[in-house]
Amino acid sequence: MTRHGRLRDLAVLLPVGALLIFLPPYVDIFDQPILVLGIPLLPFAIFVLWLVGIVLTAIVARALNRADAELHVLPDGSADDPPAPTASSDGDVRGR
Amino acid sequence: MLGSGIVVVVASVYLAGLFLLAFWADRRAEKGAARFIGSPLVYTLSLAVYCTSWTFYGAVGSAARNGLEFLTIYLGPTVVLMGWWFFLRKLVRISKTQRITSIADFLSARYGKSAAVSALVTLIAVIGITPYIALQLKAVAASYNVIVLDPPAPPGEPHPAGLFADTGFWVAVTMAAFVILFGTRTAHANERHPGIVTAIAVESIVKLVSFAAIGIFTLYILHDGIRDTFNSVLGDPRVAHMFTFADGFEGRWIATLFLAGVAMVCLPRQFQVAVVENSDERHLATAAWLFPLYMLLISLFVVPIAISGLTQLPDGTNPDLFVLTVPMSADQGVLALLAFIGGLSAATSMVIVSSIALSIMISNHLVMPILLRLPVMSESRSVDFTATLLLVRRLSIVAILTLGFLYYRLTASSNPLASIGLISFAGVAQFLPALVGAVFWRRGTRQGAIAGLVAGFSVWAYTLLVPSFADAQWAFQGLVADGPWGVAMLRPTELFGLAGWDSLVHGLLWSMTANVVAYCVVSLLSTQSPLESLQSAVFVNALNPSERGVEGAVKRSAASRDIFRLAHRILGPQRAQRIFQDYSRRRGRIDDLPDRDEPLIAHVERELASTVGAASARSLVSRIVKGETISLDAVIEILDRTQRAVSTSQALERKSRELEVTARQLRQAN
Repeated sequence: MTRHGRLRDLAVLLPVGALLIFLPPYVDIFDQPILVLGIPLLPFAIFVLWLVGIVLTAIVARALNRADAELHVLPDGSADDPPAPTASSDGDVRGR
Repeated sequence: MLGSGIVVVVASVYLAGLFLLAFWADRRAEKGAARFIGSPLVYTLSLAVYCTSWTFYGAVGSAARNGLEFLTIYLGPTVVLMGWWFFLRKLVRISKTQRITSIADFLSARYGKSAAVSALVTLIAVIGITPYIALQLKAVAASYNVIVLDPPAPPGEPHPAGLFADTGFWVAVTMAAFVILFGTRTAHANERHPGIVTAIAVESIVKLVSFAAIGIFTLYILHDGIRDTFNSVLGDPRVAHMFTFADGFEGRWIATLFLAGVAMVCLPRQFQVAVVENSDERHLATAAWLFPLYMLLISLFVVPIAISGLTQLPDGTNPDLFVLTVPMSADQGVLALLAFIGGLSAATSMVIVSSIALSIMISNHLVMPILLRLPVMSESRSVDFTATLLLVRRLSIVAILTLGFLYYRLTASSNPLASIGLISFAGVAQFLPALVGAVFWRRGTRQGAIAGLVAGFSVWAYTLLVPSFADAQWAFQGLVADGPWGVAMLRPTELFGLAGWDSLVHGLLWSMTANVVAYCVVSLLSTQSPLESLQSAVFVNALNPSERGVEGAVKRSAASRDIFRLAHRILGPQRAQRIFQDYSRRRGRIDDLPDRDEPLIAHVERELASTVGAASARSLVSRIVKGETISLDAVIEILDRTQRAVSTSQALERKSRELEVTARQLRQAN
């Protein structure tokens, strides 16, 4: 449960962090007349940060999906995958 | 230069192939043999309908004009998808349980299944998206003219005098025919279109491949690799602005980043592919990283193409068409044709999904509420409802493309692609406060949502749409120059004396301010109807598993024969039969007409909503039910349930700690 909670918090904090780094004044840090591998630093840094964000999102998403699957296995072994049909919200099932 | 015959033939073959693909995919999906069609990869690629010809041609143009600002258009959606867990997932979950058909339906369902909200959202969407569709027509027409005409028409030239000589006209006609064949082919007006989603996914691959081909061509044929591309232009004043931020870039950077992120959920077509067409919530976990990766790959090639265009083509070449003119200037006809097909893919996918999404909204929220009020439609059983619905949708598609074409004809063709697109984004961004409030703020009311939408939309039209007409020398020049009645304080581009701002930032700031303030203030001053508070609890607590089964709060009954007759008339005999059989089977009964209680009514209402939208479904059902009451106690109980669960567990924890202490004291005492 705590692992799941931590992952959930990470899933919220990750986009917030990405947003901050792509906003001024932070993004302005990379506006320097420097070349990295022959490429000006600013576009290079934005693309690298973008890629790092994508990789982190993929890792967290995978972990969340796995943790979620574990969390929804009830003690009797049946999966409680949302949205499960119940007596009063039976129309939720869309499998057609 | 390519012969017009070759271009037309290649484009026709391509479009015909797409149609066959969609047809095949629909057939596969009907048979349930659609493992690939329902895969996370296809879902992700269908999201890439976000990349329209604005991306395909406009991103290079934008980079050549404004430097790195074009990146914000892709960074914004990246951030939104990174936050899939708490926002997009919630939208998808709610839409599945409520059978949502569009963003207008979503907002209407949340604000008490209000027909006024959905009609308003539809109107705003149609007005906001029209320039965007015009942009696609313009891009296809311009790209066709560039690769066929010799010499290419100079930018900013007025449209050819005759309607039939205008390439844009033929583009619009072809697209209308295409969308009607594509989108309204199915007889049952279900809101999911696996065939189209598959075709859109393939178009996304075509876009990426052809754009990458141009990019690799500039990097490795026109230059000698990445390092050489950048080395050769170092210190060149024509491209220096692409490697650094201009002074005062912050305002537009933040505004476009915000708009692009918002567009990812608020554009009707994005809502359609991301939420309505979603077949499995878990696909979001893949799309969350794969779609940003797609956008990153497309963006990689923008700067190299812009560098080539700016340094190797004559000054004054239209940067919005560098993607075509760069390979053409190197005599690469085949590559130019590939680029043209890529641009055509980008434009057609946008027009197809947008006009389908808008036609569903127009038919469900503008036309149906009126039609259903006519005695002919609601009483007589001889009217084939499904056929009427499809006819209305086809006419809506024609109307949407006609509007787009008129906008394209009437406004100046010299406007850069990106600026048209951003005005549209700012228009649909007006849905954001009501949408965020819908899923996170239980106190948001119908009156508040309407007030916010009206205020934000009015200010948007005044500060962004009116000046764009004035720029096009079409209307309102005096108003923009001197302000209404000569009051300079109220000039659309310098409202309340806020001078010196970029007009997009200025318009966005004022429209969002008006929208948020009106939504919050009016929400706090008004009270929700019982149905509204019920729906608000369902929406806000959608991800909370303990919040299921709220329908018990509504008490109503109807004769099962009436319910069946209603379903029969609106959904057609087969679907009605199936719904009732399914329902009976799940209830463990065998007869065709099951009990007449609330669960059955709710079930049928949801099925109706998946065809005509929540508001119309509710008004249809409320005509046959008797004694509808929503027990306030039940609503309050639902609202309190979560709170009570939390306090119970806290109390338990406290108790057990107290017990521990007592036990320890007892032990010590012994």
